[in-house]
Amino acid sequence: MNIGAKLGKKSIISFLMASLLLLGGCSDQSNDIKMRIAINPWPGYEFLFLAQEKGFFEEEGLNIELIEMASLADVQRVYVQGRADGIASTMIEAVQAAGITQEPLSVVLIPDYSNGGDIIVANSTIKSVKDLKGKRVGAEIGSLGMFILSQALTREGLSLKDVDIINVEQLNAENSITNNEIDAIVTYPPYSTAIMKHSEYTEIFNTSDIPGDVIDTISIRKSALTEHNPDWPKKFNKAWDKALQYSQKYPQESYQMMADREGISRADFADALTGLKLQTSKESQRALASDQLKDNISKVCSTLEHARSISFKCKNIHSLLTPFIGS
Amino acid sequence: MFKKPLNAISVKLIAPLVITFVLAISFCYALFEHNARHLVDNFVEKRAYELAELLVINIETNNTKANLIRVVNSIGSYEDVASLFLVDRPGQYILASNKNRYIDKQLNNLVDLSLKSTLMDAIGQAKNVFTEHLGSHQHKLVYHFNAISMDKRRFQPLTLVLILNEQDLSLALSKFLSPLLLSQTLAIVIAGVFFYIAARIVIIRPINKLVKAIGSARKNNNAISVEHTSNDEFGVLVDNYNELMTSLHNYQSRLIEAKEKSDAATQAKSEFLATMTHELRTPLNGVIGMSELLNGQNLTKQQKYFVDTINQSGTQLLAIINDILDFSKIESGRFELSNIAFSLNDLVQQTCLILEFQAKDKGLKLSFSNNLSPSPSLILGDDVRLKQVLINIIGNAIKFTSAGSVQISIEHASSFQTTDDTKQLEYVIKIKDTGIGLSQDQIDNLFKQFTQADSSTTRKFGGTGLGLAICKQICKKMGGSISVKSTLGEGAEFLIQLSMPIIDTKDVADTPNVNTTDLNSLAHRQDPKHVDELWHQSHFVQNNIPPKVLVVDDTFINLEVVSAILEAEDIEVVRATDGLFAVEEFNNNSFDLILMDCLMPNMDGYQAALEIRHLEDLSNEENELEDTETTAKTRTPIIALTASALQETKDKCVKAGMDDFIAKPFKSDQLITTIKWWLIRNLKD
Repeated sequence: MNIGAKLGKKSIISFLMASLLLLGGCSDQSNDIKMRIAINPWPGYEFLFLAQEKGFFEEEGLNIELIEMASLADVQRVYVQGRADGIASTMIEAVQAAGITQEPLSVVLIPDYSNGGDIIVANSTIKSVKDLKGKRVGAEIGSLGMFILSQALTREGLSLKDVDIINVEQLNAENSITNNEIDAIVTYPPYSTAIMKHSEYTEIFNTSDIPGDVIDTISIRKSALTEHNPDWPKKFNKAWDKALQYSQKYPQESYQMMADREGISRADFADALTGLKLQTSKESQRALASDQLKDNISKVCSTLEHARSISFKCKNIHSLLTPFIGS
Repeated sequence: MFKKPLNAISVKLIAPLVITFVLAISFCYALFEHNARHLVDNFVEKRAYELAELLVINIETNNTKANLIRVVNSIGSYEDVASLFLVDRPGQYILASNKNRYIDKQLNNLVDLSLKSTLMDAIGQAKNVFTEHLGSHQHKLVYHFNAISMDKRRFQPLTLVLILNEQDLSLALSKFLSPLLLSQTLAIVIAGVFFYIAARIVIIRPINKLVKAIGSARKNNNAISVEHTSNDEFGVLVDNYNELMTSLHNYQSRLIEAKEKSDAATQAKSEFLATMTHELRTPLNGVIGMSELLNGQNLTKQQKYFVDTINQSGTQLLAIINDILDFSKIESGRFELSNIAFSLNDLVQQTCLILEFQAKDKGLKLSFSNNLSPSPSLILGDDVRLKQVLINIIGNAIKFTSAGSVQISIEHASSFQTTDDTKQLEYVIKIKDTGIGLSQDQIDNLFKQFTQADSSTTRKFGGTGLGLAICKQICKKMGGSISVKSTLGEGAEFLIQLSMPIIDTKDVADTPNVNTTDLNSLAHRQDPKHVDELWHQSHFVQNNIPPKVLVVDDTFINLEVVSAILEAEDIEVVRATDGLFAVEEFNNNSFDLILMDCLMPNMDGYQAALEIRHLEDLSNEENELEDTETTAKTRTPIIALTASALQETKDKCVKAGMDDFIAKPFKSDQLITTIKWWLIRNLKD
């Protein structure tokens, strides 16, 4: 071959390589994949906003969008419709989301347990859970409220059949009880905080009576994790810890910020926080690995099944909803 | 080699193709991008109005706080919705937003100033406005509508501010465009490679073949026919090339053949002439020699006239034969020049002396002036040949001038400039006569062979017509030129322009015999009168001791002629008929000089000269051993006498130890002068 041919070959090869490089530049960067997490107002989840605001997710190389919804039911719906990659919810919504979509869901973090945060508030005619029999009780059907009511009634030898359950959304909770549409309601901060401002209502039950039963979770669609970023849960946990540490270091600033978002005062926010038990990532890991979590999932599922509020079978729920261990 | 241009062809062919492709694809891509953008913008605008409509329908008649927040949050949960705000216009506060923290906030109290101005602007706007490309991939819709108030008794004027993101849409679009670009790029590359290969096979390979064939044909100087492989333009080109090369090659070989034949013929002719003239000179020698001897006898007036006529005719014939010999030497390329240090002034003067008699005879004035300044004492060149040229030209001038004068002058060439260390003398010898002159036609033919200015003049003035042609060749050979300026009837001026190296006089003084290879010239250069004067002062004449000369020749008549000439000058002659006898004579007697013929039976002149020199060396060695006082080595001058005037012969003579050279036939006074000069010279040494 003469020089000309060699030169020709060389230029062709370099041209090919240049075009490949050009196209390679267009390919996706896995770290830039955005995770959309649906979230509803709850003091425990506010720390995620804190992490977002303070750039802890960014520091870990995470691109997260928090979709603010009004209620747990909305959160679940957005996830089921595929408009979110993950949800911040109680185990009840997590079980339902996994069951309805029949798509594996991973619990990557347990941010907190409800430890008195969720309460049953009743008007002055009702003094205890026993008195609820035959009364109109407001709760979100097929959601957390019904689960708590069920647990409370069971402890007193009653069942859901013994009460008149009326579906009331948290946004309407205050209106419904003040308008005397219902006699009692299952609620939580910041909505419970508003109701309790009225002196005629009293708290007849809270989750500190059923410790460990109401678990909050951050769950992500399993395919979104394995497809793009298996390191994602680890980084997420790290950012979570940073947010917790920041709130301890600068409680005034952090609490003010989180209270603003909830539409309540800083003092009320601090008070609301006493009703739940925040978990560090370490504690969360331990809980995720425990048998208690599995039992809780079973318990939640069977409760929902008994209440006929789900249309899927609970027998394969453990393969659909799994704790992400080792993050 | 021809590789670079070939490469350029492939580049030239492919570059436009690739550039066109790239341009076309770039254009397509830009067009696609533009249309896609337009589509995206349209889509986003439609989407914005749809979302606004959805919101309005949901809350127009169900204006409760809970419903507002739910609907706003739900719409906010769409991926393309960046943020939305529902603002109460009269109250100037945010009724609902997908960002919880802004709910129930007064616009005036907003900390985020850019949000504050956006919302204030929005409520101030008179109608619904969709703004495209609000910063980084964002679009904004401001939508005014009235909802039934919560107490269901009046309208509540609300404004929706919807910020939409089109980033995901653009990303999806680029994901769609990337493979398009990739496939098109690949198409270019494949097309380029394909075209390159095709170009190589169809165009460059045939060109390469042709170039290679032409190159190798040039190198080997023969025609190589190129293989005809295709029926396209290259096929025609190859056919034409092959035809051209074949005919060219045939023509060339015929030319070479003809030239070889012609060269061989010329060579043969020249050889023949050289041999013939040589053979003619030997008998002529006898005629001239004998007529001269006869002239010395007591003759009647009429007898003397006859003898003179014989002598003159012989001399003329000799001149003609010499011309022919010179010419044939030039023709056959055997003409050589010698290099001798000589005085230009003396040479021209001597030539004038020789011709003065002729001029006086015709009543012409022959003058010479040397205008060189400074005039170098010695220059290096072939004096004999230069003298030959001068004799010819001056002789012609005298011949063709009936009255007036012939003026000879030496001048510097016009281009010549003297400096202190000038090494080369550039000069012109001018010969100007007042003769019949020449026409332009005559001048044009003057230096051609066998022509005289006018064929009629041949009859009047005689001559072979070779003289000037020979002169021209000699000058050319010397690196100079000869030219003529003349007008018919007004005389002529010949210009001989030459350049010769100047010899430093000091160098020459030490080596008087500058170049012994030029045998012919050594003695001939001498002025005969001067030699005669010296001769009369020599001890040969003063003490009346006749010099003893050994003459060696195998031809009886030659021996007779030479002996007669020498004896007339009172020189004792001993004869030898071949080399063997010569050596024997030398061994037995001592001689003052030896005249040696070259070609003889038994032992030739060269061998004899060698033996004689050998004998001399032996006796010199003996003398050195016996007597240190008389150290003068004896070296008897040996003069070659031969009919061959070739340089090879001269070289051979020198090699054999001979000192000088006389070409037969010779004039008696020429022979005598040479002999005398060597006798005197030998004494001085």
